[in-house]
Amino acid sequence: MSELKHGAVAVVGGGIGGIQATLDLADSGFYVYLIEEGPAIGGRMAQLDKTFPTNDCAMCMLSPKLVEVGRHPNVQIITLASVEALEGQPGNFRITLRQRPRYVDITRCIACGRCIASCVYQDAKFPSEFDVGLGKRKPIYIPFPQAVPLAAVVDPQTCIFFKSGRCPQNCLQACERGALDFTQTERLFSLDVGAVILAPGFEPYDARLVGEYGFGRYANVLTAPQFERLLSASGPTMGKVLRPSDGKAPKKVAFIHCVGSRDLRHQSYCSAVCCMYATKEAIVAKEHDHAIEPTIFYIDLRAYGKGFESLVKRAREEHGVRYVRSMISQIIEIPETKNLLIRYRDDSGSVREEEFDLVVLAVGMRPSTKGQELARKLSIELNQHSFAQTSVFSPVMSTREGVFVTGAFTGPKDIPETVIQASAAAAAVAALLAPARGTRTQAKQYPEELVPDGSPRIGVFVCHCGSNIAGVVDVKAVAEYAKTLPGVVHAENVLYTCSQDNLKHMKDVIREKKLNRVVVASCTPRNLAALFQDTIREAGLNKFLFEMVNIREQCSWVHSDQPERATEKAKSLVRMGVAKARELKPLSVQSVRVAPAALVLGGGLSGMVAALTLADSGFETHLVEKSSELWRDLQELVCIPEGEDVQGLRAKLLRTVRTHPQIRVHTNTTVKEISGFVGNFSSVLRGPQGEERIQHGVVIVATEAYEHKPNEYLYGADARVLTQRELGRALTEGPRVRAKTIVMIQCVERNEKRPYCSRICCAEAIKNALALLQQDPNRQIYVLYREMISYSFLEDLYRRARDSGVIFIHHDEQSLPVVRKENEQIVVTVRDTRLRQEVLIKPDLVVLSTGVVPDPYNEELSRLLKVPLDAQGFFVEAHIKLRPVDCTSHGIFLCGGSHAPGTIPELIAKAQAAAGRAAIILSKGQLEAGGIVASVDQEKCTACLTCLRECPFGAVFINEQGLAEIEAVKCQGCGICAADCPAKAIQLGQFEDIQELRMLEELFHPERMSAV
Amino acid sequence: MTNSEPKIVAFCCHYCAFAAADLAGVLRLKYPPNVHIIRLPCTGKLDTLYILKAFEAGADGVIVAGCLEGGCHFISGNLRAKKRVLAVKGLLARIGIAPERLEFFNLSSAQGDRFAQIAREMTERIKSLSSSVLTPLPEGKG
Repeated sequence: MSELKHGAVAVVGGGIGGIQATLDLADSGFYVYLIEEGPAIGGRMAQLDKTFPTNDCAMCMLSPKLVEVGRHPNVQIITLASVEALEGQPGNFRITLRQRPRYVDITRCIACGRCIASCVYQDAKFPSEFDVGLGKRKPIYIPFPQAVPLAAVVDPQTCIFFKSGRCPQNCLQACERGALDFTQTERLFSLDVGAVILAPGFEPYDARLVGEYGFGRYANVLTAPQFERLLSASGPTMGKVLRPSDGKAPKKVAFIHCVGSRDLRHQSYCSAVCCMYATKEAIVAKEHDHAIEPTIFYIDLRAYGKGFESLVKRAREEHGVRYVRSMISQIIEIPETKNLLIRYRDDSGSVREEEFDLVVLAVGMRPSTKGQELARKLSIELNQHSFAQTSVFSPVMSTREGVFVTGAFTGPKDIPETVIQASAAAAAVAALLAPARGTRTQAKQYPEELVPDGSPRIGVFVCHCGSNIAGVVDVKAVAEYAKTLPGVVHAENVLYTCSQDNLKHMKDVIREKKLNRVVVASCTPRNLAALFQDTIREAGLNKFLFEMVNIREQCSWVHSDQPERATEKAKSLVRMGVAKARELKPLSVQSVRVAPAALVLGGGLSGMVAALTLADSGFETHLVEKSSELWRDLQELVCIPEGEDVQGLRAKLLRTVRTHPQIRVHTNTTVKEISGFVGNFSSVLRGPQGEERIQHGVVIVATEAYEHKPNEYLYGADARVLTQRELGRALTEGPRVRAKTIVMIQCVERNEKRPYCSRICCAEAIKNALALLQQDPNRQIYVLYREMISYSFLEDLYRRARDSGVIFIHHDEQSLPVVRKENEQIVVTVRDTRLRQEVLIKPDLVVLSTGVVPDPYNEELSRLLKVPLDAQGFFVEAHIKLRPVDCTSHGIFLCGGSHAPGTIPELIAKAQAAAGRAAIILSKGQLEAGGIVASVDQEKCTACLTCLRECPFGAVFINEQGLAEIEAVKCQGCGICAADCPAKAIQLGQFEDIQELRMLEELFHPERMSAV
Repeated sequence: MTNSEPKIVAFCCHYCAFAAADLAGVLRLKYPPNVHIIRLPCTGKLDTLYILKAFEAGADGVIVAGCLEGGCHFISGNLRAKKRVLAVKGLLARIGIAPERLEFFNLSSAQGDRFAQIAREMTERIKSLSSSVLTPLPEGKG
């Protein structure tokens, strides 16, 4: 293709999906405009306290990503903006944006909060969007403490100036930076982009519409997003669970599931995440206040993802969360106590009434209004539920070419599925715009590094931060004090260290005074250290000859009541920083060339999709399959969705893969060995033609999962007992199934050994049941189940099956169905929990949903790649939420059923995501190694192997001398090895023992200044 | 400047406790200024030597604060640190330093209030101990 393509991309929506797509694209050579409707990026995830199933802190995971986006040279964040129009063709679009005024110049605002404090509204009065109305904010506010961009915003709807024009505008005077600008107006402008990714997310269902639960009328009925804010340590109650009506700690808390979901009066689909988030909230509430007794009222408990089942088990067994399977038709408030009365049917079938102190409504996801507006403006189609229309085989493609969709915009889904889709969409864009990669990004040029000569010449810059620091700490005294410290040749006060003019001044001072170390005493290094490091690098210093001292967040802001002691503390902190600076060493970062090829292991659906995505992005790909054919058996690896031409998909994939100039297919081939590391793997393939060594920069593991073959229920002993896949095969390929009465048994042999939900079997059973009825509507079909896992839009399929006459019989996990033969008749008995009695069925056919098991080949791959498998044999990802297709070992990526079971669209998205993540590395051409990494002093190493054992990243190896050595490219810089080394042979750059110990000495004995 | 408050060093993980301390500042919470933070990339980097050195140099108390269990940015660093802290507590007891002067905490970056609370609690705890770091050993020990 010779036509011009733009190397820039518009990502619309700054939630976790938009952020992930942005970072993936910006890291692989594309310029990204991240367009956000609100005043800050972060989306719904920023409002979460914890995330299931690990109960990790949401902000801990998200905040570094926010900062990364905010600082990325290839990203421009455009807040308060919406899309007006999109014209042009894929590769060559013009997108028009409307940006509302912020009334604050984000390049000047330092988020000190003085404007907020000075606002004529003395108390925060308006419901905070971030705290879902539970907290209050002023008309001028900072969206949340970790917001990016971190700047105030004026809400013209509530600001007196805009409402009446009569306001003293104290904020204008209070701002020391002149950042406020009430003359800003709305702006309409256009950008040239090659592709668009839409990630507008979802809205929680409006609980007011479910009138019977009294939300909005009953004070102590909250929605789950509100409860999340109550649990958050930075929320309106600082993490205390308190009742809105009287501020008292509730004891009995009820969670009601499916609020607005699985309900034809509201939304027919299942919202896919509520079962798990409610379980999480119940556990976290209990952890915050042990007296809380949580009860969860549910219809089906859909714990279908990786690790979900064990979270529910922990909730029940360790945290005492009570689960009651009962739909709740009404909540009644008791006027005197504001307690809430819930009527439900208990396990014995009798109706009971119970009083609760607080009720949390597990509201579902609905398509966002802005998403629907976007669809209209961009002319893309929505599905029947008003989510973006996608196809089974192209899960992240909209109906308009060049416009991709991701996350909850395509249907209810959780964070990892959103992240997977985001990476998949980024990968699809990268393939589409491959010829334009690098045309809009620029690599920064730096002067050659000066070699620091012997003695330290330290410059100290002490920031006023307006009055944020100077209002408490005597910053002049601190700078004067700094001048007296050994090694310091320059110290000064700066009004704002981070301002552009000061950065230039710093560079001048470095040159004039021949500084070879710089200490900045200002705010937290978490936000700005990288900026200062870049500045000193521009002045020719190695960026690691820098130390930052936090005298704002960790001094002036927490000790404003004791200014003298705050000043003393600031001096101590500067003294420590200077002591460390004296010991700093330049650290080298080497470039390592990346072998521009990929190895994909597994030639099923996932492997082929991954290989094609990589090859379309321009990278040579080796596709290795151990059997004789790619995707040998249509039905073996995947659950075929209803009405989709999977045979056609397979034929098309086979054709494209076979003829693609960038793909080399190796069938009948296994991997004999893999060595090397990210960017530079070297593998030996063993195939029919003998052995072949290939060099590649990345590995994608794409093995699939197989249907489990059971040992019970007469399987194998009677031809009338089949598995679902076998039935599916008979239904599509024949012979015709001859049976009138059919029993399907779900979760077969799902036990302690295979405790996980296979995610796909319920949908497969429903689809097969419907197909059986289509052949003969007079058939009697019974499905015996524990929980029906028809999440998201699969719920519609489940409803259709019920409406078509399929009978679903629920049984307990403890009373499994029994299948036996009486004479030649098969007899199935099961205890129906609803009828509370034994049901006896005499079927002609028994179909078993047996779940899936990972490819046994995984064990060998796990050994070869040195990446771990979980107890069930599935590969373990680097992070269950935010790095779902990465391995902890860099350069290795996961997709396919062997990572986790999934439906065809889920598997395709995961394969594209893995390929996209891998392509980031390949597109760089070179990787940086070094910096803050550990290294072994060979003289001291005794080869005790402690480091080898303790390194979580497999970065340690034993070299030819028999001593430990650390592969800089693999090292993540945690320092575990350095702390564990008994011979003290390992040091971590920037955190060397001598540097840390000097800080300690200086903290306590300033008079005993260490000899320089 | 003299004050009676105990001198405390807090070794904080960059990803959680250090961020929580920042959040305490953003929320303008208050805690005594005697707590000085030393940032580590991970508590897994905490050498037992640092703790001992801190006491030797004159610290009255040492806080080690890492991520929530299961939430370590580097998978297992916080678990290693916890083990080391336990081991050092044993050593402290043997040399006559109250082990309560050293404590390991798990917290997330969202727990600004928890950080301030830890700083206050440790200060109070150490104030309630004997004023000298070194307490006389019981007869027959050491």
